[in-house]
Amino acid sequence: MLGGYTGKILDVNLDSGELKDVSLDEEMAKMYLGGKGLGLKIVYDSFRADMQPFDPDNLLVFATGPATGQKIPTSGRYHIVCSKSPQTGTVGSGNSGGKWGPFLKFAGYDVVIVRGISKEPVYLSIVDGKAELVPAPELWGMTVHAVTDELTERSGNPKKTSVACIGPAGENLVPFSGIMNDKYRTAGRTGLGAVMGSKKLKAVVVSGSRKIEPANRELLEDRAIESMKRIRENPVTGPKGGLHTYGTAVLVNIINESGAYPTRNFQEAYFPDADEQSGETLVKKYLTGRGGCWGCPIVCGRKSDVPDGPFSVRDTEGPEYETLFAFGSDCGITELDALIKANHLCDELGLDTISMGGTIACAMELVEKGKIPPEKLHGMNLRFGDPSSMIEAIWRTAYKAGIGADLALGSRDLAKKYGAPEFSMAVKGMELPAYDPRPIQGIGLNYATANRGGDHVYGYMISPEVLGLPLKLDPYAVEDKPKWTIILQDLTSAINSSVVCLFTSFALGLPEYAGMLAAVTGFDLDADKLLKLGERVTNLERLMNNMYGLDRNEDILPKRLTEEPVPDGPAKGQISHVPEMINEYYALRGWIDGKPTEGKLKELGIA
Amino acid sequence: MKIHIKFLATIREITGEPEIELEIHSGDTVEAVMRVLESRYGMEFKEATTGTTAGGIPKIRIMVNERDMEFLSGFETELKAGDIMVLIPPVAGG
Repeated sequence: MLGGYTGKILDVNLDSGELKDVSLDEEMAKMYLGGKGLGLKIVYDSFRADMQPFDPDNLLVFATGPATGQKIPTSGRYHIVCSKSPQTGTVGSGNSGGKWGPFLKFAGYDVVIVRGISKEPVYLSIVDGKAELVPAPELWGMTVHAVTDELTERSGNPKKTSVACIGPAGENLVPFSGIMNDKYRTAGRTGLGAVMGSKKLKAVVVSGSRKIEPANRELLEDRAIESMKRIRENPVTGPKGGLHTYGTAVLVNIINESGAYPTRNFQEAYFPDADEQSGETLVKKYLTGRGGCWGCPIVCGRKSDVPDGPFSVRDTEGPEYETLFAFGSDCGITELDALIKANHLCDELGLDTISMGGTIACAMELVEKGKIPPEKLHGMNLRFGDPSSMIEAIWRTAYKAGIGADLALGSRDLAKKYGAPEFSMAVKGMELPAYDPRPIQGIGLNYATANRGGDHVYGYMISPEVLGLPLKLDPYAVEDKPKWTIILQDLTSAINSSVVCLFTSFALGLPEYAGMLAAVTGFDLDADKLLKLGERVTNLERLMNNMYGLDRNEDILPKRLTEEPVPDGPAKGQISHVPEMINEYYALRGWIDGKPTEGKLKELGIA
Repeated sequence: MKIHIKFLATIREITGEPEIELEIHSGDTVEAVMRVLESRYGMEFKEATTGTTAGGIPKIRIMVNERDMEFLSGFETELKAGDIMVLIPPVAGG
């Protein structure tokens, strides 16, 4: 048995109801590790270029890594991959924290593969190595919190049980619905919830007490202690650090003051009222506590409470920085209590907050510019700065009610439908995150080239370009950005295959990750080999996208960002220079026109 | 002449105010303004804004009109009327 793995994959066929155990292939584990890498390899092995998102053989793969559930800081994470995303047409991919990942391993499995479509709604229960499909028509239609409470109670062992599920948005096949676990954690992007909904799978419940032995326990403990020390001493990740104190929302003021806080559907990049929705204000007005994922010393999660007013919501969690931007500045909305409410609704309905906010912002601009006629809105006052219409738009989207059916298309198809595709701020159909790329050149290149579409955490260039970690790069400059974008993208692929939290990268580097992973698995790993593994994962994902027909034509930003300078504020006059950087990016990658060459694939052991 | 100074995250907790207007002289640099702020907010402020942390990360990052001062002239950056200076401790997110 390999260290750090249970050695077992659960293969679930919803067409036949058959469940079978498959042994984990050791060579595959060495090449792809786990999480994202292993999930992609599983999808690749039964790849079909004419796959459609809701076909029965669109695989949905829940994958832990060798770090998951070990005594390694932030090892509470897992990754979900699907063959084809309903949102982007690429391979689908999302990452989540909480406790579901480790609990799956304690239940006896490294990976769950779901194929087929059930005739009736079911949930999958995996308890101490015993898996079964349970008919659950009574759960269909329930919101995330309700179904989580119900299945946790049914388990009879609430402290050792974790539930991953979809809400109404996933059931209704909204292409940007997520898979939620532990109520508030989300594999949010690329519409994995809709794929799960298409399979009539409401939830996966995991529980168990199995311990997974690392290859070298003593060595792992030494290396984990060293990494823990670095995390605790680091001013960002330490116990009194910015992430613990303010959460990711600490970025609101910083990015705004950098002139890169997207406002009113990226029409502007500075929001004068940003401080009213900042991490500092969240702490002062609504924070009731902090919480972390399994095995995490950083504890960046927020517990919040809005006791009264039109947007009151009790004892909820969040919001994250991305959510504050998506429903806040991007929709021209200031009120923090409304943003907390919007976040809560998305958690309940199972929606990706970035894409939901980005789509509403796009709709607001379409209304503002007269593209969506008033009669389509049935009385909704969908305009920038109107918090109650923003909140109404969320539930309407999840249930495809009225204008919600159009919003549920996502911004790309919504803007196309109303004759103004240029108003969609998305890459490959996925709405852009909370950093305007015009004054931050590297993050723009990352957005354009990220395999899953508009994605900030594919290669988090904000770290060197704005936060100065691990080194400072001038955000306005294009020099060296292709090189750094590639390094961070491949590092992230390795981290997501391990699986640990990306936030550890503020304190740890490749040597620390490789050291801990080598101790867990017994694999011959060092910093260079781990980065190479990450490159293999990025390239495999790109190869599948190429086989779906994507190439350099999809590696582009919305025209607004490359042609319309920031109109005002600190970054006035800046535009994104992705077109000037992309050829160098491809050359450094060993790609031609967005496609890995045969030589590159051979070098990486893919072909 | 006056400049505008904004304090973020933990620096704001020390100053007790999110932003101030400060009267400076023509030719004053970021360095000079930091000395004024140290005398105004005391030792806690000085300790929180001087040197590096255990991991070698600078304790403070200073932006002048949205640009990190390192891409201007560092502490020697000269300020003019209406400039906005932002003081940021080491923080990150995602």
